[in-house]
Amino acid sequence: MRHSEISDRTTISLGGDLNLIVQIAKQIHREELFAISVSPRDESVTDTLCEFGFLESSVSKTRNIEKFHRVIALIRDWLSRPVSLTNPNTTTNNSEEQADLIAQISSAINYEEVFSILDLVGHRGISERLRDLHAITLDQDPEDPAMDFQSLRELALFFVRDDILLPDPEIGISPDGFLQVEWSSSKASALIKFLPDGSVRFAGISLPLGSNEKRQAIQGSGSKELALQSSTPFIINNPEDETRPD
Amino acid sequence: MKHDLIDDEHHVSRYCIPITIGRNGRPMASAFALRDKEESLSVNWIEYFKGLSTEHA
Repeated sequence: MRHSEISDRTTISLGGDLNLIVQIAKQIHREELFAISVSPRDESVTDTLCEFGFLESSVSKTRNIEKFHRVIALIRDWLSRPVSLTNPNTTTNNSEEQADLIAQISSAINYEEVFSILDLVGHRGISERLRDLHAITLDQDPEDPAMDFQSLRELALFFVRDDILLPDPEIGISPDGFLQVEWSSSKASALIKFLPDGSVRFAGISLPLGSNEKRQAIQGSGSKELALQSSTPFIINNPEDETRPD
Repeated sequence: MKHDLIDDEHHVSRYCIPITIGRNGRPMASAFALRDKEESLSVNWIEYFKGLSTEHA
């Protein structure tokens, strides 16, 4: 274990209410095993975790897919107010506008151009967070990751869709520079990581559905559509939940 | 010290770079992801510093 300076840096402690987010991190970075063995609560959660992920390309081959869909349906029923997947105000008349936005994002040549497009379509909260993140990366330790521009494009392409309604997520940058968005509540958490090739990695985890049940968790990689369908049940659009106690 | 087991009652802390902290002040999942060539997550063992002055810690 490395002991380094802690005096003037932001630090956090593992355990307690961080269990959900740590589990999410484990799901999305499955191959990057954590070497921490100090949190018995964390270990006990792992022991009881019910998980099954899949790659989109192997959907037809996996026997888990039926179980996967059953759990998705169960979680959707269980969570009190999951977000609506479909925007009721969507009309087919703005398909040209959508195509234009996609073209603008795809041809954008700098960060501010993409931020401005998000502003234009009403995602000011997301664009402001991205601006802040980008500014931080310009002023941080050179060893820390910069914001991957293609990952930013892919995130923007996801959020400018007019056929979905999602609450503004928390946004961060992974060690490889790719953007990650997260939604967390007291009942469930979801995460989507935008890769430069247009695919995403995603994960979701919920509290146990009942007193004798295990936690439910999913993880996978594939298209944005797959991530949306899989993660939506874990995203709760409940403003009261945003202030869950520490 | 590396690979030593720490008592369950003890605490560890981890420095999270700003781009891994959400607007709500909480660390995001990316704060716990390993970098390339990292084999383990780096943390500080809080009880190790017990009894040390701030300067020595």
